[in-house]
Amino acid sequence: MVGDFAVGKTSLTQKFVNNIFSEKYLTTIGVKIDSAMVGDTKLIVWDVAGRDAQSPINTHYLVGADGVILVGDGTRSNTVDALEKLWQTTTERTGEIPMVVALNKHDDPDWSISAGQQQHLQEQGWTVFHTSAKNGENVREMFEALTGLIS
Amino acid sequence: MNSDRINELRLRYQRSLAEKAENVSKLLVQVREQALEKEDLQVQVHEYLHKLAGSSGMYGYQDIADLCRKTLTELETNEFTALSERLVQIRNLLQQHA
Amino acid sequence: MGNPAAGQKKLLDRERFLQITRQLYDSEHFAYLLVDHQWQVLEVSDNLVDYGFPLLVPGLLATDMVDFLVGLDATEAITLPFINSPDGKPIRVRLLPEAANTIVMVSDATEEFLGQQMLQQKANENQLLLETQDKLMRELKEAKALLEEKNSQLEEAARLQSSFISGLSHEFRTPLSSIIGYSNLLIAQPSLDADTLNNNLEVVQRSGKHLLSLVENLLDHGKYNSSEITLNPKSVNLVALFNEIAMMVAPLAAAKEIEFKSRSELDGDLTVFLDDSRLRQCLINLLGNAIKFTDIGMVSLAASWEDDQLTVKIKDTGPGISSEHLQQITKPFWQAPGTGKAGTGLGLTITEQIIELMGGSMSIDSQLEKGTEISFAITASRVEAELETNGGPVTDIDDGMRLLFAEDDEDIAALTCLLLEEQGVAVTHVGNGEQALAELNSQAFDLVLMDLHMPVMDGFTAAKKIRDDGNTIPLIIMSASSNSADQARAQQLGCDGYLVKPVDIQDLLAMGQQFLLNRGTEK
Repeated sequence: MVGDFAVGKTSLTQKFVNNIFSEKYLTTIGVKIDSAMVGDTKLIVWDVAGRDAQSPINTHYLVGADGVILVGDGTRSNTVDALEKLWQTTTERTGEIPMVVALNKHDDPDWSISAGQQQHLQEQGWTVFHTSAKNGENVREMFEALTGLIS
Repeated sequence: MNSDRINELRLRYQRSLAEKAENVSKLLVQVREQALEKEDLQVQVHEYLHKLAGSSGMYGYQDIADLCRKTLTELETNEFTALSERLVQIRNLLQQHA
Repeated sequence: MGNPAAGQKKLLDRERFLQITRQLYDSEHFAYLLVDHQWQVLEVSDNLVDYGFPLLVPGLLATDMVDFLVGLDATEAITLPFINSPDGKPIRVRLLPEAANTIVMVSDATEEFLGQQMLQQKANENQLLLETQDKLMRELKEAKALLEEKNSQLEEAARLQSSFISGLSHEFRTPLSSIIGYSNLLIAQPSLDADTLNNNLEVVQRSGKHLLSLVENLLDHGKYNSSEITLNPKSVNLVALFNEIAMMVAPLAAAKEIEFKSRSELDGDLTVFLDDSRLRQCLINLLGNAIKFTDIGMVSLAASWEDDQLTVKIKDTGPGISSEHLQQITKPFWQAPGTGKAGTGLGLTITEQIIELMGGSMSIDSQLEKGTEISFAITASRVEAELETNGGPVTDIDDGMRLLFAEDDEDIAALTCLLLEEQGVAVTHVGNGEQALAELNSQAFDLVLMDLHMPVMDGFTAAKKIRDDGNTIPLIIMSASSNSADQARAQQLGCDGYLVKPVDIQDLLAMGQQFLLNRGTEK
């Protein structure tokens, strides 16, 4: 799980793995490892600390990944604009591996993805999910889609 | 019968033109001698020309009336550069008609 | 730590150094896992289970037992500073590859983790706050811009409305004052020669028709908005209609010293079935506009009839219309900016609508500084018929007006009194405003005529006192000054009229009688 801080990487993971959601924001330090089964496949999720102004992604945490979920916050367009650069950083370490995009917080009334942004993401050839860790929208679908791309 | 009286009035006005020319001359001397910043002189000139504009027009001296009005407009917009010249022109017209 | 110790190995015994390293290793609770490059477990420190690791016995694959090792390359040296151990504790993991195997060093990172967690949490929360603040500021700015946009739309609407009203009153004032002025002339001078009489009557009629067309435009605008308009076609002699139009507009052109040409290719007996008053309205609107906007040159009207179709072309040598304005020109109330020409802004709108109603279409061809050509064609059927004309009586107004006249200049006073008395007006003359007030208190008057510049009490002061006393007598200011500030002041003080000297006695009487008439009807 790669993305800027506070976009909901941990929330998406927890919703998927443990089906729990908390409104409270708790920043991730380093990486949190979790796993869940998708069909016969065991998915080990590396929930990597978000990128912020002070700290770039520690690419050590990306080593060995078979797939990536790029997560953006649909209510903070800067976190969506950042995805392209993040993907570049990621692939420098991992090579071209399967990837899907999650635009999270789709339940939030402040959702502000412009048509232009949406189109730009699609022009990259990316599969984009509008997700909500809060109500579960597209969470399982997204993890399953990525698993499908990997196996 | 009224036309007699009107003629009488016209004649009377015409006779007063020489005196009016004299009055304009006096104003002209003051304007030349004194600084025009003196507001009472401005007021004095304005008042005199204002009256002259009204009466001369009434008695058919359109040229005098027009020139007076033109000068008044200049005074009202604080345009004094041509004032002496204007007063000379007005005086000349008055003398011409007298 | 190893390096400084290594640098002093002559002093520090190697055995002793290893002993210290061992002590440190123990005190930091280092644990390790030794694997081969395929992750097969070779050896495990006893304390690895303390970190929640499962029991790893040699021969097992470590990647089967420990999730975070899956996908890692055992031959690559990396450090994972903060990672959760299988039982959730923050640990630091280092992969230290050797020639044939790899040591996985595990140590506790709880303390550092908590410290960093606190700092990072604060930093991120602050950053989120800043972002929220920025977003709110942006929204505020957008809302403000939206409000400003709305506001300027409202201002534009208000501006259009007020320019419409001022244009309207301007348009109405000219023909009205000419009707009143000339009809009063007719009343005051019963023994006019036939030519003058006819001329004056024609002016009245022309102004009346002009007013009518203005009123029609206004009413029609209301009607078109509710689609109530109907056409009332009848038999009309087109030649007579166009002659009449030419006679109506020629004086307008003459007054502006521009040429007016009317070229008709119509048969003298061409009579067609159409709504002549609507057609007249269109022609007057279009010609009136052309003349209004043309200051130099010519306005021409051409009419032709072919195949049951009347084609009309109106050309002018006016300033022309920019292509950008051409789009707007038929919009209601729209007026070209910066021309200084007053109007209702309805003429073209209504003309276009009438022409469309008549089954035709209007086209405007214009170039800046070249002039404008407006043409339209309407279909109608030809008939044999005759035209009718009509006229109207003129009503009488009483005279014998009692007038109070305040004027300090003897020359003006004497002549004005004489001229007024000649018209049957009873004049009381006073030399200043104070005397005027005294006279007003001692006898009845119908009208006050007041000079502005007078000694003792000037005209404005006197006028103000008269109105302050609640006296509503018609009051006309007379001054040699055509100064607009004076005129505005007079209006503000409640004066009814403002005449610039030299005053035309007929204008004065016309104005006075109009006020008296108004008062009479009010009573």
